[in-house]
Amino acid sequence: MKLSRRSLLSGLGASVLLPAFGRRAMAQAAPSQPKNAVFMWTPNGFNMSTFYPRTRHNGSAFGPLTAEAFAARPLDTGNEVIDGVPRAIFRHPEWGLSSLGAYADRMNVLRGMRNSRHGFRDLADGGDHGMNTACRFTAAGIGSGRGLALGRSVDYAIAEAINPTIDGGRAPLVLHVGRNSDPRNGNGTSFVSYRGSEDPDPGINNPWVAYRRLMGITGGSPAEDHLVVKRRRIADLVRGELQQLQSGMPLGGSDRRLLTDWLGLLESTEDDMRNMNMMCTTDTRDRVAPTSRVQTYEGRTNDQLGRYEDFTDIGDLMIRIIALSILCGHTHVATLQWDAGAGGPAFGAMNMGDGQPGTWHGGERHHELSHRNGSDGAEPGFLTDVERNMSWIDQWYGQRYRDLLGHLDDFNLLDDSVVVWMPEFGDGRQHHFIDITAVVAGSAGGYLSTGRHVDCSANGRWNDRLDTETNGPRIRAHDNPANVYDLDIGWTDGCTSHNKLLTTVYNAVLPRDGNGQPMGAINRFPEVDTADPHNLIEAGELDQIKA
Amino acid sequence: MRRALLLVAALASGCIGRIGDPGADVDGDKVDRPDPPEREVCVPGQPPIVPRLKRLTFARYDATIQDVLGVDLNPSSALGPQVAGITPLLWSGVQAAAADVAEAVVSDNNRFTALVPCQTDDAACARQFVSTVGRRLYRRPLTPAEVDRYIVLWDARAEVTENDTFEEGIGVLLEAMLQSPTFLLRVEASTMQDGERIVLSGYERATRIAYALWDAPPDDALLTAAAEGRLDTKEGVRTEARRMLTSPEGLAKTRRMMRSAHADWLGMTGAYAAFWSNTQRDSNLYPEFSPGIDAAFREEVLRFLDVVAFEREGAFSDLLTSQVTQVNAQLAPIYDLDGIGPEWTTVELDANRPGLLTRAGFVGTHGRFSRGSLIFRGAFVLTRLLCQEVGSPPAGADATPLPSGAELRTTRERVEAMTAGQPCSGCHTTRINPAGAALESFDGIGRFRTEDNGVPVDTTGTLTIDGEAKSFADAREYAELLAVSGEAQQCYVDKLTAYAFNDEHARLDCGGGALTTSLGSGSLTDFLVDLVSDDNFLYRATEEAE
Repeated sequence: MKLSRRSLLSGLGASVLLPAFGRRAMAQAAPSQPKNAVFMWTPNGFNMSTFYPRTRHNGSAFGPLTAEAFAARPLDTGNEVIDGVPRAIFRHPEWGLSSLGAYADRMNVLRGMRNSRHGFRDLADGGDHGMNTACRFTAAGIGSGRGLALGRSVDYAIAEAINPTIDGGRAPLVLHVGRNSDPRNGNGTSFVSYRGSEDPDPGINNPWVAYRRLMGITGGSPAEDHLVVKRRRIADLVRGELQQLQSGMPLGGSDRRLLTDWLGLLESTEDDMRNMNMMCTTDTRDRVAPTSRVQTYEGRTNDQLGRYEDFTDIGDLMIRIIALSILCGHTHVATLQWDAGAGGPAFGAMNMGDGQPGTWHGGERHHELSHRNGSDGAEPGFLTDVERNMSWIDQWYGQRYRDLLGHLDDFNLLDDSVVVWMPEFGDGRQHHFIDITAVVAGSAGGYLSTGRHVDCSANGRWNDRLDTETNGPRIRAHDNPANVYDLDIGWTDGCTSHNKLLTTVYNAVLPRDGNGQPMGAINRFPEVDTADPHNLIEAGELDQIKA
Repeated sequence: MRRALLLVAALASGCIGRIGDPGADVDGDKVDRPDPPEREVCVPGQPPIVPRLKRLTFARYDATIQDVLGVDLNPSSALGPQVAGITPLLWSGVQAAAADVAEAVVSDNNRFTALVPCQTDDAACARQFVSTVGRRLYRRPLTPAEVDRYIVLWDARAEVTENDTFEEGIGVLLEAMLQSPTFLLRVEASTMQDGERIVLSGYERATRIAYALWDAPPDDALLTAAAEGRLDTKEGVRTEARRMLTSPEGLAKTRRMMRSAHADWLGMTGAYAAFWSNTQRDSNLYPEFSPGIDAAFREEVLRFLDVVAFEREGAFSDLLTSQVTQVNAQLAPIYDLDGIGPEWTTVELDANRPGLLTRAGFVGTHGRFSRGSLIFRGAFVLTRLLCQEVGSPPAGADATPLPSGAELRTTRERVEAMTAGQPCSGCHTTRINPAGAALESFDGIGRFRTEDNGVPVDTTGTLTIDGEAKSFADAREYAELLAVSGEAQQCYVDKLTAYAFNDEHARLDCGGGALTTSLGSGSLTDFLVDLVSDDNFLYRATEEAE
C-alpha cells in the first residue's frame, strides 16, 4: 500500500494535525515545548565487571566520560585469585558499553542507586524478578496476588503531562519485543509500563500494528490543505485579539507574560508547519522503516512474535518506529521493553551468525546464563565462558541502545530528549535490588548535564565499594562460586532510591517557562506513596545529573 | 507599597523542614532553610490585586461551552493538566477542542438551527451569528471591529473549508471564537477610578458574579441586568445574586460550584489529592475496606457538605458539627448502619459524629495501611481548616516505622514517642499531634472506637486556636471549638475567595471583616450573596498584578 504524505499527516489525528510546536526552532520563545523521554528496559542484570566505563579520576571511578573509557579491551590483570575468585573469568574482549564511545559526551552512566522497593517476594507473584520489573518505571510498591505495581509508570505520567491527545487519550508509546503477556493474568515479571495501580500495559509487540497506528492508514481521513490554511487564518484572528489586549489596557507583569507566551505559540505553530513539511514525510518514513519490511509482520500471532529468530529484527523496527513517532509529534514519550523479567532469548538460537564468543551456551536463555549455572534456579554451578557470554549479551543490548540514540540523533532529537536504559537488576546473578544502574543519554534540552560517570549514592562514597580495575563491585568469595561480588543488601543505607531518577526525567521533559523552569514540576515520582511498606521512595531530583 | 513579606507562623514556632529542598542536610542535625514563602499582606477595605487577564478554569471553560452552545463534550479533557497561563500543550488542546465542539454543533441540525436562526448563506447572517453567540461567549457585546475580524474569516470560506458550505463556514467561525483570547480569558479592561479603586463595568461584574456563584457564564438575564446598569449598585447585585441562587437551574449550578470549591478546599484536587485517593487498607483488620472505596469516601464528604449547605441551609459552623451525612451500602458498615442500599441515603448520626472531621470519608482516608493517622489528620486540620503553614517532614520521615515497646500501647503513644525529638517535635508536639488527637476515636477505616490496642483511646488535647490555647476532651468538643474559630472562618472565606477568583492570592477580607462576620452569623447561601456583593469583590485594585 502506498502511503501519501496526506495520510501520514492524518495519522497524527485531528488534534495534532500539524502538532503545535516546532521542535528546535523556538529557542527564545517561552514557554518551551516539551522534550522527549524514551525508556528502555532489558531483562536480568548486567555483567557488572565488564559493563562500566573504565574511567579513573584521582583515584575514583567517577568523573568525565571519554570514548576511550568505553573501549572494549580485556582486563590487564594476570591470573591471580582474589578471595578464591580467579579474575581471569573477566578477561575477554566483550564489554557492555563498548559501542557507545561516540556518545560519551552526551550521556551519563549512573551508579549508586537501589530499587525503590526492598526485600524479596514470593515466587508466585514473580519473586525478586517481579519486584524489580514492576518497580523499575513505577517505583510503586507491589500488590499481593500477582505482584503487579501499585501505581502508574513514569512514561504514563509524562504522557499525561505533555503528550498530545490521540484517540481521546494521552498515552505513551509502549512497545515490547518478544511474546506479550495478557494483562489479565501476567504477573509482576511481565510488564514494565502501567496505566495505573495494577493496570499494566503489555505494550504493542507487533511492529506492523505500531506502524499502522503511527501512520493512521486504517483511518484515512484526508488531511487537506484547507486545514493548514484554516489554522493560519484563525491564528491571524487570535493574534489580532491578543494585540488588542496588549494595547487596550494597563497590564501587570503576569498579564504581559501571558500575552507574550501566547503570541509566541502562534509563531511556533508556523515553525512547526515548516518542520513538519521538512522532516516528517513519507520519504523519511520509507527511508527509516520501509512499509514492505514492517508489513512482513502483518497477522503474526503472539507466539510467532515471540520467536527468538525475529528478536533482532523486531527490536530494530521498534527502535525506528519510536524515532519516527517522536519526529512526527505523535508522542513525546516511549517505552521499549525487551522480553520480560527472568526472560531474554536464548541468544544462541537467534541465528546471529558470527560474533558469539567462546563457548556459547546456545540453548540457555539469558536468565539461565545470568545465574551462571545454566539453570533458572540459584543452585551452585558455573558454566564455562559464561561471564563472556553475559558480557556479549550486555554488549548486544548496548548496540540496540546505540541504535536508538543514533536514530534520534539523525532527526536532531537526541539533545532534546532523555533516553534511559535500565536493566531489571544491578547484578544479574544475585538478583539484587541494590546497585541498580542507569545509562542516560541526552540532556533534555540542557536540563541535564552529560558526559560523566556519576556517583548517585546518598553519601557520595560509592567508589569505596568498587573494584579499581573494572569499576564493577569489589570481588569477594561466597559459598556459591557463581556469586563473586561483595554486594550486601545492607548497602541500601548508602544507595539512592531509583525513583529520584524517574522524578528527574519527569521534570526534565516538561515545558519550561521564560526562566527555564519546568512547568508543573513534581517533587517526587511517584507522587502517591502506596501502601507497600517496603517501597521506600525519596523526594527530590537527582541533583547529581542536573545541569 | 502594598506588598510586603509576612513571616509565616510556622517559622516562628520552629516548624521546619521540607522534603526535597536542595539545601536540606539529610543528616538532620543542621537544616539550611530556604527563605520563607512570600505572602501578600491583605489591606482592609481595598480590593485584591488580581491580573486583568485570567484564563478560565477547566470547569468554567466546560460550563461556558455547555451553557452557550448546548454541547456537553467535557472539552477540557483535551487540554492536559490544569496549569497556569498558556502552554503549548494547552494551546494544542484548545485548538483540538474547538474543532470538536464546532463539529458537534454543525452536525446536529437542531442545535445548529437554534444557534443560527437566520439560516441565510450571507455575511449578514454570519454577522448576526457572531454577534449573538459571541455576546455569550465573550460575556459582553462584541465591538464592530471584533465582528469584522470574523467576517474576514467568513470571506475566506472557500479556502478554509473542504466544501465551502454554509454550515462549514459557521463551524469555522465557531472554531475561531472558541480559540479567542476574549473567550478563554476573563478580561477586565476597565480603568475608570473611583477614589483608590477601579470601577468594573457591568459586564465585568456580571462575569465575576456568574463564575463565582455558578462556575458558569452569565446567563441572558444577568447580561441584560449589566446592560441596563442594574449591576452598578450593590442592591442591584444582591437582587441578581438572590435570583441566581433561587431558580432551580441556578441553584443546581451553585451546588455544582460549591462541590468543586469544597473539593479544592479539602485538597481533593492538586498535590494533596493523593491523600484522598489510593487508599489501601489491611482487609484483615478492616473488612469494610474494598478497592475503590476512596471514591465513596470522597463522595460522602462532598455530599455531606452539600446537604448541610443547601438542603439544611446550614451555616459554616454546621459543616463542623452537624450529625447528618449521606451513606451508601459501601460505607454503611463503617457507621454500623443496617438496611442501607446502593443509593446514597441521608442519615442522622449520633453525637460521636459531629461534622466533617468525623465523617468516615475523612478519617477513613487519612490513615495508614493498618491504622489511622494522627499526623495526617492533624496536619489536615492545621493546613486546610486553619490555613496554617506546616513544613514537610524531614527526609526519610515517611519511611520511619513507628517505635514499639511495652510502654507504647496505643498508636497515639507511639506517634508521640516517634516525634518527641528534634527535628520532629517543633511541628508535632504542640501542633500536628494535638490537632489530630481528638480523632483517635476513629480507626484506620473510619469506624468509631473507644479503645486502641485494648487501651482506652486518649482524645484529649490542647491546641492554639485564634491565638489561645484551647483544650478539648473529645471530637465533639474539638469540632465545636473549630466551628466558632475566627481562624477557621477566615480560612474558609479565603478559600472560597481564592476559588471565586481562581487566584490563591486574592483575599477580600483581611480578618474580622464583613465577610468573616457574615460567615460566622448566617447561612452559607446568604454568605455567597454577601461575597459577590462585597465592595472588594465589585471593584478592582488600582495596582496591577506582577
